[in-house]
Amino acid sequence: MDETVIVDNLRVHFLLEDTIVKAVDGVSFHVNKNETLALIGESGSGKSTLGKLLLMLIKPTSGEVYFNGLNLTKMRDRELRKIRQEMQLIPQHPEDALDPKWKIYDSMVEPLRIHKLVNGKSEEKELVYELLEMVGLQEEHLNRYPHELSGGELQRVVIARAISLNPKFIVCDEPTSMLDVSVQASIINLLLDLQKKLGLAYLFITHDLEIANVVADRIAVMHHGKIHKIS
Amino acid sequence: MGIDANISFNFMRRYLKNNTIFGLAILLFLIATVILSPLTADPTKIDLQNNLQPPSLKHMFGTDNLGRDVFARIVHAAKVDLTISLVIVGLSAVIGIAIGLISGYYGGIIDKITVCLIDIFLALPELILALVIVGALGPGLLNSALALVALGWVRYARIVRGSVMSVKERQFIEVSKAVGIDDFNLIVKHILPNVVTPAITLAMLHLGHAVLSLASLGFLGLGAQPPTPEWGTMLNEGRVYLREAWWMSVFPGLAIMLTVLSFTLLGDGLRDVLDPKSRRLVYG
Repeated sequence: MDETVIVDNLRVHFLLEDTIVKAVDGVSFHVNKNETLALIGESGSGKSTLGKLLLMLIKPTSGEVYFNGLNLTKMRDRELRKIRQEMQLIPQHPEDALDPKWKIYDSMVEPLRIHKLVNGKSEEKELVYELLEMVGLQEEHLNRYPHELSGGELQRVVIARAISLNPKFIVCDEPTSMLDVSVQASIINLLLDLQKKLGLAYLFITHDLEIANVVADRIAVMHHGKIHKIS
Repeated sequence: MGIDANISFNFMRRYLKNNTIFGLAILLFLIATVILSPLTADPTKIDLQNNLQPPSLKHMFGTDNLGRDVFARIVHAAKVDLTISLVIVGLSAVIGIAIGLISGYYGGIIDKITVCLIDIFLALPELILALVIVGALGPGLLNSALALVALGWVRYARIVRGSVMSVKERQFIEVSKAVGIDDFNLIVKHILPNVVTPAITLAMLHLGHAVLSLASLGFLGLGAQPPTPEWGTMLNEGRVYLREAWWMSVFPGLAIMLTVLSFTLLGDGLRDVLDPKSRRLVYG
């Protein structure tokens, strides 16, 4: 079985002032292990919604999502929280992706603490330093607050958080669209490096065909809630 | 024009700052009198020979109709009024913030009920509601405090609910959910720290308001019962003797006024420090 994620006829409809908005309308595809599937489409085409659906941050109206053979749509919240270790989100706005009241260190260890993956302070610190090195940050960043870091640095913290749980699958929701062009390249290289090292599968949401061509093994085109073409 | 605006802005800032210092000075003075209250005369000692004495060296603020020292009574009343007000504000804040967090976060039917309750409470005049509640429970200091808590949580719930609704849509909440955080930790560790600032400012303003409400209930005979010294109750006792003994009413009235002023000024100052963007948060 090569597929990490299988999506079967997924729909999500919202009721907005008496009209039904079909944000995602009957979508089926799969993501293989170790593969990057780029999802491109214009804004409003439902690609971010689809990303959140895969992580069950939004519940679908109908359809199924399988992750490593498990049906996520049928899962209870408690089981779902456990399974979240293996699938992560890298969001679009790095400047809003970390709690402004938390120091970077605390934000970075939060996933480890939630899933009780570390015992004691020293083990925690060791892991944090390991993560820092993997994403190319320095020790000095740890004691700062999010507003004291640049967009690129913040995105690295977010990536460190996401990989800290050893996930198998990450939804990257336009991870570079808010960054400078020069920083974009370094973040994309980082993501590609990590994919090789850790054997990750990505759903890479973007509206930039050039970036999609660089990162993707396959490209899916989304339009008005439907996937039109997968190559 | 620009320079003028700048000057008046600076003037305003300095003015606000001095106000805060003034408020702080009054508060420190009040706290000092509370600490030193055991040194005064016995506030409940009746001395009918010396009743209704005007202010003198022996009785700084005079004596009341039963010959009790008004100064001692005011100082001891400060202890009662301040601690009870503090309890009222503390309980109201805790209850209101909890309700605001839950209703803002979960929404749905809980939220509808909360909003409905808030609207009802805010639409009715507060003191009359308090009168109804104390009337039902029976007069007394504890019951009037309970009534004021029953009304006090509303503003905290409203202000916190509003902030929660905007904070919960932010991306770091979604990212934490994606990591697998449970609702309790999400609310306590992420949402609460991001919504609590306006509630703290509100609490400071609420303190002044609570002192005033407590004194109002006392004045109407529903608060502290004699012989417990309490500012509102003292005002009520002095009302009858207003022509013969102005000091029985004027000094407790001044005490109430200075206390409320102090908390209001401090609340304004606190708001300017904690939340420079919002310039208006009116209590009452």
